[in-house]
Amino acid sequence: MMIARLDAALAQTGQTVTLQRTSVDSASGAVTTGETLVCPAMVRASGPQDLEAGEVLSIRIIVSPTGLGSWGIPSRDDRIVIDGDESNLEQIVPIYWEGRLVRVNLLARG
Amino acid sequence: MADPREAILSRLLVVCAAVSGIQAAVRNRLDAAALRRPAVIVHDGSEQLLDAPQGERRSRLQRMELTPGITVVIRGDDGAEAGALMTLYRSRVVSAVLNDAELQGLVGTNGGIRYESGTVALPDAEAREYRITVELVFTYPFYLSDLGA
Repeated sequence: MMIARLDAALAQTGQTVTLQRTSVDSASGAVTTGETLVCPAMVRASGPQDLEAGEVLSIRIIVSPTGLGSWGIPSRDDRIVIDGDESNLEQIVPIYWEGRLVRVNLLARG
Repeated sequence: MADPREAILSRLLVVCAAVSGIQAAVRNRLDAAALRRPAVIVHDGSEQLLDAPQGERRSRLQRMELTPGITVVIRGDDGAEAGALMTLYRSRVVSAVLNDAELQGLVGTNGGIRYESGTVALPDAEAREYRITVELVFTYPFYLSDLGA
């Protein structure tokens, strides 16, 4: 019920984001994008920000377990692409109700 | 001659951007666009008086020290990997700057460039982003006549 309500809210007032896992070449430090997931999310920017990528300071995001599916809960420093701009995930807060994951709150900066 | 401070900082950015493996170099920004890594962020830092000749009219000729902040940002899957990468890029950046003929020309024979320090910021818990700030000091003669109106 809680998840269904969240899914409906995201469908109505959310937007599509892309979550990305990355891997690093240990010899050069080059970063490559691994598994990606496109899912609905609620996105709210807060704090000072700039329209140019790399200067947005703080973005709060809510995603649903339905959208995450088998991709699972994001990890620290996974990346999220919002409207074409990449940010790092700095806080991941999974919320459980009666032992079941019902939503994941994220804080991104980048 | 153009303002040496700006000439040094502009050239420094070009040199850092050309370092092998560096994906982005930006000046006075919080981060590189699209979070490209490894990245170099150059902050202009401080410019301070080093010395001035006796008898010279104050401020007409003096030597200055320019200390920009040069931060290399990398990603690493663990601290050991990140440490090795920070050492690698510290070496490349310092070598590139100290060996650049144009920067040497800008500081002149009465100035110089020295490597002062390299400091790794404490990482955040579970983070995969790491930063090392390299401090290079540029000493150069400052002529009042070099300043534009």
